[in-house]
Amino acid sequence: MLGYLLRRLASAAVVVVLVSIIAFAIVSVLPGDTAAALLGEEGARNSERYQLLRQELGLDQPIVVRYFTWVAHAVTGDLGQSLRTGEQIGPAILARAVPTVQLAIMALLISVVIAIPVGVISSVYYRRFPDHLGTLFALTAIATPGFWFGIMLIMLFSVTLRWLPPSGYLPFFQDPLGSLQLMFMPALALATGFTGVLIRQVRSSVLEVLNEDYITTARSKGLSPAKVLFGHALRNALLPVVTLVGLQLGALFGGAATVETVFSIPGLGRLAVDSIFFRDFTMIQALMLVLALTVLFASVLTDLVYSRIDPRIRRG
Amino acid sequence: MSAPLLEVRDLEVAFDTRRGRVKAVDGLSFSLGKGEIIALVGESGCGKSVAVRSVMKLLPEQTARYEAGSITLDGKDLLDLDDKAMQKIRGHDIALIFQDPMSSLNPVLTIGEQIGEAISRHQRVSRREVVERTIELLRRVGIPAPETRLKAYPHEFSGGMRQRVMIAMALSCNPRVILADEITTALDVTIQAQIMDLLKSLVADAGAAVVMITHDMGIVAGAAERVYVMYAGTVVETATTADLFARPAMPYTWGLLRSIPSLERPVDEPLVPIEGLPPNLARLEPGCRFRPRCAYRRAICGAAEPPLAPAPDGAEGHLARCWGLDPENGWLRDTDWTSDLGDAETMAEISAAAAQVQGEKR
Repeated sequence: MLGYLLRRLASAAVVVVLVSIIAFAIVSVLPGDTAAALLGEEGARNSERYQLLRQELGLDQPIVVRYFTWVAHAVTGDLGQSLRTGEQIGPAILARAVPTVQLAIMALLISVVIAIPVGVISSVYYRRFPDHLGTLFALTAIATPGFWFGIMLIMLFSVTLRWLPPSGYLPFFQDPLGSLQLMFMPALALATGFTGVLIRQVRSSVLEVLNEDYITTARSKGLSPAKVLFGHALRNALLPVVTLVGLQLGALFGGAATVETVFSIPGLGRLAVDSIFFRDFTMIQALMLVLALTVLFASVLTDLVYSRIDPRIRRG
Repeated sequence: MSAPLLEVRDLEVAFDTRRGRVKAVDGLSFSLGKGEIIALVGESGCGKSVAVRSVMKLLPEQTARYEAGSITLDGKDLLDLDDKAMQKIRGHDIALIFQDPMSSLNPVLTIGEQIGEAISRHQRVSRREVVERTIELLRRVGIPAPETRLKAYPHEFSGGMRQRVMIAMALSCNPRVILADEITTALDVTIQAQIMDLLKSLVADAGAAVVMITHDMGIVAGAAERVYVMYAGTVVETATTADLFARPAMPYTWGLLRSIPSLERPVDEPLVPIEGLPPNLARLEPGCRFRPRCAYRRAICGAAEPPLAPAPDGAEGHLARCWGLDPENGWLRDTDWTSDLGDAETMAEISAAAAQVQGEKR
């Protein structure tokens, strides 16, 4: 088990290095550089000031040297300063990550809580009315853009019914109930597409498992349909579902950008959008790295969960 | 013979498919006495597996239709029972052992859990007793160190060991009927014999009756008391094992026996396969089901299906379904199947037809 974890982490480390190179390279090949962005279009015409700033920022160094300088700082936690606000990037990202993590976790929970029952019911009533209903629901959810659904939620629950506040953010530990209330609609909006996909996955994998020989074995022991479904089928059927949830975590962070904008949540997604608009290169670079690390972390976590529920991996 | 324990009468089971209803079992009858071992023999696709699954009513509810006949266990017709009542019978009165021990155990549950579940489903016993009995069962089927193996998962066992686990599971509630569906097919030949011996001795101890399903005539000879030869969903010949091997009556059974390698025959003598493929059950031709592959066929064979009638050897309970055995016009009553392989011209036709089907498939 420990060896498995170590192997998994080692391969993750390789990916981190590759990601850091890509993150650095993308920003480097974009037209214009940090110095130009700082000086603005007008200022950059002043060649002397431009060259001076380039030297100051170390941009005149070869790209390999700049990469290693960046990495050397990054491993000590120093990701540099934001060009836009001048604040330290590390703490800035950390502060903005809190709302996004809460949003992503809530969205994930909503997806799972809706998708597993709906998917299971669909598969049990395969090609009958409840299945058609579940499929319609899933496809509608997949086809609905999260940000649009978010706006519709605001109109319904905040404007018309006045049940929930329309937007804003409260830290969870300051006011848990208020925070959950505020975050409910954004999480629902973020969860839509993924819920649909997850329903389809749960449905198809339960259907597949129900055709396995060991399900017939379980039935031949005289177990009730409920025991066969929950005791034998579900655990096997959830294996691919766990994979999907893990892989989707990264996509949720991406989707958070639009939802956070709609609901004015000061999260990572908004930070990324703002940074791109202002060409805050150092921040974009750091955000890419952080996002990649998150996805990696999620996939390692997925593997660990997977090995918990599938004994063949645990010892194999 | 006293009243049979399990009796299947004129059973017809069909499946709804996209191309209409297909009869997988068509007029199947067999009976099983207490403690008896019988075998259903036939090629794959002849309806054997559907037949045993229908005895436990394990066929998919959405597509399987029990169209006619009865399945009586102790005088109770199982076809009248709802699923709830069937659950009490499955595992308790009738147990099933499957063909492929690799796929018939749940990979995420320990074998202790899987056997224990069968025990606690049908008996009110404490958790500790379940564990003790599971260990005892594993010991009886010859699993070494059962106390520790209890906590192992199926992938940690070899195929033969898994089949032992399946047998332990089937025996867990002392069922009166065990259905064994090709239980040795997926195993190595040396293991096959072990598993068959194990099953036979345990069944004798427990007094259970067994319906064996197999395509292997060798296994039939070594274990079964009575044989039912199945073809295209129905019984074409039945006899005690001794009678069947001594005086097989009809051409399909001859074909099956010719395809067994024998130590008495010279090694360079080729085995004689049965030409052609089992019929497509969705498009059965009228007349005898075996007619398209039968080298002894005559005009009457295409006209009507022959009845299951007493075979010419006169042994009690030896029945066969063949026009060639008809007491008045039968032309196969005195045929020596070991030397007469049938009409050469007909055989050529069959080969040609089979080749054509193969060609169409490609």
